[in-house]
Amino acid sequence: MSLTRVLVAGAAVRFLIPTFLPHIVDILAGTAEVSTPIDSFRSLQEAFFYLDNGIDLYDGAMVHHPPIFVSLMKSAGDLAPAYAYIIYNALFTLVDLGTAYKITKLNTWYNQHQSLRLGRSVEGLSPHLLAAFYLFNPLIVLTNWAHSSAIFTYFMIVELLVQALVDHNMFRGAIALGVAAYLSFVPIYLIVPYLALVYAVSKPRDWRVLILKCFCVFFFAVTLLVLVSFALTALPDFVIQCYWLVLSFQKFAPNLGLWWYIFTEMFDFFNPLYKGIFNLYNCVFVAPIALRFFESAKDKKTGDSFLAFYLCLLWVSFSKSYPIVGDLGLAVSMLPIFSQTVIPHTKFLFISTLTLIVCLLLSPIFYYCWIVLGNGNSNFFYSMSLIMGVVYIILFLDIIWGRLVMDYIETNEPKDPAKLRLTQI
Amino acid sequence: MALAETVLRKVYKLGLLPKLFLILPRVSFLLALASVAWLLMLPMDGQFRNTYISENALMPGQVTSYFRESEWNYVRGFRSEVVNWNFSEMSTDNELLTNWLQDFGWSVSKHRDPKTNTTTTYAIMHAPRGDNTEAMVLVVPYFTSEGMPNKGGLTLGPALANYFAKMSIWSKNLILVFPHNGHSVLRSWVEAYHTTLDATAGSIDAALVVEYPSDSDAFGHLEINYEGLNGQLPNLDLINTVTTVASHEGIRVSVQGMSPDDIDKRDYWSRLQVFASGILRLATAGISSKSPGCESFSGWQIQAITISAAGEKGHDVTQFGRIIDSSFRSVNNLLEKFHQSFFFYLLMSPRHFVSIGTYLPAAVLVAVSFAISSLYSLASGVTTPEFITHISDVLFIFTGIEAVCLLLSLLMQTIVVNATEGYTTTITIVYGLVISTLVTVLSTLAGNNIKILSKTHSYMLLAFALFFIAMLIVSMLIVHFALAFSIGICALPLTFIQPLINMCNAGNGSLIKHKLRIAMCLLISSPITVVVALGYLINDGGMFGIANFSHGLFVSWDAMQSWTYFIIALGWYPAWSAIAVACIFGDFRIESVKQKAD
Repeated sequence: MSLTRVLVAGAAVRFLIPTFLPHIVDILAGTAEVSTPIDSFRSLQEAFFYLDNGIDLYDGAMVHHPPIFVSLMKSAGDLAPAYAYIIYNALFTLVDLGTAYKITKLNTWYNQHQSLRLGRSVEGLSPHLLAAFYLFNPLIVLTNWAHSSAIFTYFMIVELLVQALVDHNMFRGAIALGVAAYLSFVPIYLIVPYLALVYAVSKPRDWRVLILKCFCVFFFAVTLLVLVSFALTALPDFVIQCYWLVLSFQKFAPNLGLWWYIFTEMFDFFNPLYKGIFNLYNCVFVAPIALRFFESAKDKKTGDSFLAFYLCLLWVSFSKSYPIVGDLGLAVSMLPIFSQTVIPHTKFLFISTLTLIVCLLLSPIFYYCWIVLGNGNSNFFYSMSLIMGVVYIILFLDIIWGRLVMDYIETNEPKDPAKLRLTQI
Repeated sequence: MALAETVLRKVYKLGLLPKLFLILPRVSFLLALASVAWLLMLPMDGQFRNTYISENALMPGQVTSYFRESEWNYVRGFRSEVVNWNFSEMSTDNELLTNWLQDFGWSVSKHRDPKTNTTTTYAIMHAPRGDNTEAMVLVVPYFTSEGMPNKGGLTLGPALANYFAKMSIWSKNLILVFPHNGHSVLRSWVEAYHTTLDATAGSIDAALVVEYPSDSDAFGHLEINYEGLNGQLPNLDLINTVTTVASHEGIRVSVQGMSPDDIDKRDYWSRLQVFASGILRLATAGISSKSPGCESFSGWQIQAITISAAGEKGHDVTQFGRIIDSSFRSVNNLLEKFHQSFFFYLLMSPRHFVSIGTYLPAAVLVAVSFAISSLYSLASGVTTPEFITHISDVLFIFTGIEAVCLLLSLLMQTIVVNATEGYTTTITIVYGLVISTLVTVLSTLAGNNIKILSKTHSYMLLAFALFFIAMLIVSMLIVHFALAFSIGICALPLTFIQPLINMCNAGNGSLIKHKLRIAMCLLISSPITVVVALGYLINDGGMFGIANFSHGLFVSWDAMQSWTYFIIALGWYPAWSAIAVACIFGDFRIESVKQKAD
């Protein structure tokens, strides 16, 4: 199968099914695992209604999409109001195709880069397989059908990597990161591994140009977007509804994340402590990961800044306040990029896959037991949130350990790597 | 971690993994045995618990019920009218009953259901002390689950309506429903109540379905039925309330149709009987047309049970009324909906139960047993690179099988539901299915030449089908334990097929014997065989029972919104078919055997 055929098939799945079964969008947009208040298509439609009727978008705490995004989506739908849903189907399809295509680019770059560093040819998987991993990943397909705005964030995350690595334009990458952060806040933490990555891949390594300028570009990109939003709405409310909400866990809605349960079931006076800790948790590991896997200029064989970026993405998705299955979907779809470096040294992919399948099967059933049948309770659904956390952690530890084993093999060159069994001390 | 690391190193050093692989089939079978043993152990002393009232607000049996001598004459008066009724005519339009209820101050409404072509009368009494948001329902079907006219029930209905209307203590609305039967007619009323009906009385907390077929003053004991659809059960507190109230009246209670002689037995076998019958009835709820009626309330967060008067003598008809009255007054005390106690339990007797944590491991063990067989099957003939390159093909094949099953199941269901002669059509379809099963099973014996599937595909398809069953059991583990466990046990012979194939490959024993055994495994574990056998065996079935049971299965989604048909048709049957396909068209010969043959 060629790449084109994969892209066409992926597009067909994304475009035809919601076009012929429009209900699927509504149903999925109301499903706890696939969309949360901050990215749901329902609240976006609510926002369109507010715009049409001249109501302030952020009055009533129903809309949590940033203003520019709402305006752009509204104008897209207004091209042909009667066929707006088809336009959105097409738009979301196109964005996903873009993401898939860019992931194939990243794959090619990564394997070339590793070949250069390791001094031997690293043959990754073929582009069409990579595209298929993204396009036929059920987690991504569901997120796409739900028309979750996270799809745009995923595109921006992949795009910023492509800009910085393939096109060698780290400033445009920084702008893309700014857009991603503007869209859904949490990618803001990725600036740390991003700076480390652009610093590591650039020649010559001039930290003033790379780190300072890049950061300034990022900062001003975000600031500009926020100011334009402010100009659009004339009120700072959107900051509270779009970003402060993410930091302060204001909207209690069951999701696959680890935190919602704590706020619904615990005493209120603990809340400030929890909010502090959970936010800290979300960002505190970003810098250590970026440093540990930094590609030093002297030692060519160890370190992998791209992997560091990937791990940070995984960590941020794991510990964010409103996660959806698509977050894991993006991470899983990008995993095959490491098919020749980390994956041969991982041990628990089979176990984490099985755990994930069980979690995805049971979580909607437990949600149904709790909300519809009334014979279960929130503990049922939260248990599956915890299992999802376990999946993340197994994957995370597995990849880190895989890379460390690889570093050991590259530096020590043992006789028979297949029989090598390393232990943590 | 250090300990785990030491153990893992030891395992590698001693080369335990290949040895472990060889005993996987035995492990799988032992787990399945352990699962059954686990359930058999539960009725033993010390393994189960006594029931208790968990919600303190209920306070069952603490009030004095005044439904006694003074109401006796009302009951007799109503009965003298009711015994003269022609029940099948009156069930659609009963002006007399309507007038009675209106005289007592109830507002009477009608629900016309085009699907079953019936009209259901129901009456609402708005609570004098309530905020009009919650209700309790008393259902008196015209015909009991056995098809008898519910004479005593229809006597007690208006008598209680008269009595309830005189009391000022109600804080929840009361609804009296008189459906033609407790099956699809009641189900459609419940659905209409939550969707289309104009005259409603708030969310329903609890419902009692009353069956009192005799027209005598006396009855022997109380029977409780409680199974809901799709594995749902009413809150155990409701059963406890009724049981406690009944015991305050000195009335014995039986569950699962225990005969009066067995009620007082407190031995292992009687508990096991109730326990096993509970699992079977829960698994087949919504299928039999003799369903007790309480399951019609499933899915709307309503706790419902059916109480029926059984036996000839011992207790007075007003005592039956007092049980209803006293139970309603307990529910009336509730400040929140039922949320304490248990929603997942299995009863051993009216006063003994096991909760989900105790019985769940049985189903988990079956699921693990299937997962291990799947792993064994995979490890028997597939390497990791082969797995990665072929997994999409296998998923594609299985999706194809699933699609065919979906089409066929919808087609058969539509045909049966719309047929004028439902039973004849069902019998024809069942014949067709049985013949196709037999043909499939026989062709595993014959088919040696057609090898469409490659070796990797065959092994992987078999493994995937077993894994699919494991996941099916896992997904129903909590929500429908009874069905999950039953499917697991019935489909268990499918796990023996791979070991048998491996024996063929190794050349142990005669080939034809192994092939016969594989065919037997397939035959026993087919859902069609099991449905036919169940229809033949339960409810004094015989040949008529088969038609009845299959017909119930086909129409259960349409009439009751029971998922059982689709779980069998889209879960169990595709997995079985995939294994059959792998056995018929698959090539399981490993290289050494092939070379020998060549």
